[in-house]
Amino acid sequence: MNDSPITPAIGYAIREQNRPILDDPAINAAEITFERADDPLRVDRYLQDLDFDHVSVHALKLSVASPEPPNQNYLEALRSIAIENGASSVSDHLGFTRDGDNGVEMGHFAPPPWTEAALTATCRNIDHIQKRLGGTRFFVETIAYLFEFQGTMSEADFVSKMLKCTGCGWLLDVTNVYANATNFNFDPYEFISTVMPHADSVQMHLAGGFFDERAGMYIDSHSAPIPDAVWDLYRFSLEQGVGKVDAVFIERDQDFPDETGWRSEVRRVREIAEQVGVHA
Amino acid sequence: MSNASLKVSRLDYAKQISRIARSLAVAQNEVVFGDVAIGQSLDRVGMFTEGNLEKRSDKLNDQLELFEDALDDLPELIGRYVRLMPLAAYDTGTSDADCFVRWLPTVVELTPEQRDLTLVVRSRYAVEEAGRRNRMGHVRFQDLVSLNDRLVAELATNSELRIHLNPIRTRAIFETGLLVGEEEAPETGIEVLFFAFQSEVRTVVLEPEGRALVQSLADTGPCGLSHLKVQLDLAMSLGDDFLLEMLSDCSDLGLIAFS
Repeated sequence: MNDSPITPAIGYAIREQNRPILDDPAINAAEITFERADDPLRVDRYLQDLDFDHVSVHALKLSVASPEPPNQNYLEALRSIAIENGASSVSDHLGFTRDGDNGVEMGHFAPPPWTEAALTATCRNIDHIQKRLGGTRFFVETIAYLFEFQGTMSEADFVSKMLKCTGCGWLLDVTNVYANATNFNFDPYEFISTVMPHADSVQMHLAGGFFDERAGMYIDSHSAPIPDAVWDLYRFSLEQGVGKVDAVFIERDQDFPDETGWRSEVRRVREIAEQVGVHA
Repeated sequence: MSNASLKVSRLDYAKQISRIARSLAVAQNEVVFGDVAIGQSLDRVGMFTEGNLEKRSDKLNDQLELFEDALDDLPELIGRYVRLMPLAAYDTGTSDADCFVRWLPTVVELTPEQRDLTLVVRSRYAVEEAGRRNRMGHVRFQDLVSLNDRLVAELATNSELRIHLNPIRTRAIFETGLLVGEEEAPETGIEVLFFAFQSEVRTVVLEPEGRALVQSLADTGPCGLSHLKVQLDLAMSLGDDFLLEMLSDCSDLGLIAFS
């Protein structure tokens, strides 16, 4: 068990559209998307003069389920952004975006096949990343997927084994779990309660998407307010992870709300976290 | 599991991921149908690749905005490109635009004006890559640039002052005058220097004297005004006032700095 406070640090994944409200008293954390911050000609740090209790750098191309670990240049650039901005953690997604170092990118992450071979490669890569990141904690995020590859175990087993084997943190994207549960017909509460005991340290993502009637799927598009079902699942996740949730971040990438919308959503995230903390 | 079987399993996994990544990168969806979990809709593989290619095309359209009026069929060419040429590992966004303009002449006969536009894309990318390779150099130089307003005034009187050339730069030769507002270009072309200024890329047309100045500073490294004069006198005779004015212009642009 780590020594995280009962109420996690709370904030937004930074976008230019929410910078004006980042001084809201409900916000004491920020997530930086590495690919946005990694401007090779930058002279100022991405956070500028903002200061938070908890900063995390969220990467998109570590491709932890690729057969090979990420290359040194990418890891060094990631570390530089983390150091410049005083980040205490780095995260990326449980999936693969490319084959090898000199290979190709698909443009987005696909889930690994839930197999022993994929688990071995993923754990090996996470070990490599953790060694290179030194004292900066590494979290792996459960992704929303459109399809799965043939496997020999469930996703919950795969994630649990990965957390046990590597000791990395779990970035529980509550909306992704809700989307996968809706689209692949499983119980999201059971998924979270199965995996949570294996995580020493947890971060969470919250977002809103939409149900695509034509595809018959919930799409986690980061384009809408957080839906009620996700708020419920968030409260449940906090209860399951009491004492080990470091930070919670809201993600919004399209159809941005007005100032009131930005502020009210993050305040609700904090309010629920404080309620759960009080009853813990 | 024995070491031998582990190795086989590792190899098999590498082959599987390579096959999946290489086919999905260019929307050859049917290649992975056999890998998809039984009972799951194969249409969703199409959703995955179409969404990815659309995002990649949108990014390229944004980055190639300057081609908008110069290439009528730009959207179609981008559509063709993303289905033929997979995105390279660790693509940075601008690297894909660089690949696109390198691919372009293999499928279209470009006019001299269009070739100049490809040089702009390639040069901007080259400057960004130089910044990536030499971040400390870039940050230190931009620190020095912030003192230019004060130090340029001391140039003629302070013999201790050293002149530094911006390390994050690249040269290109335009075939036409279109992009620099000239009606015609000499046969040898128009030399343009692309360089970093804070987080932007700036350009300047190099006249022969400017070219000599940049070359001198590039050859000798940071040096004082008297040393620079000696170097430049070997190439051409410049009056002191002319040289000071040229250095002042370069300082205003952020092409040189002082320490």
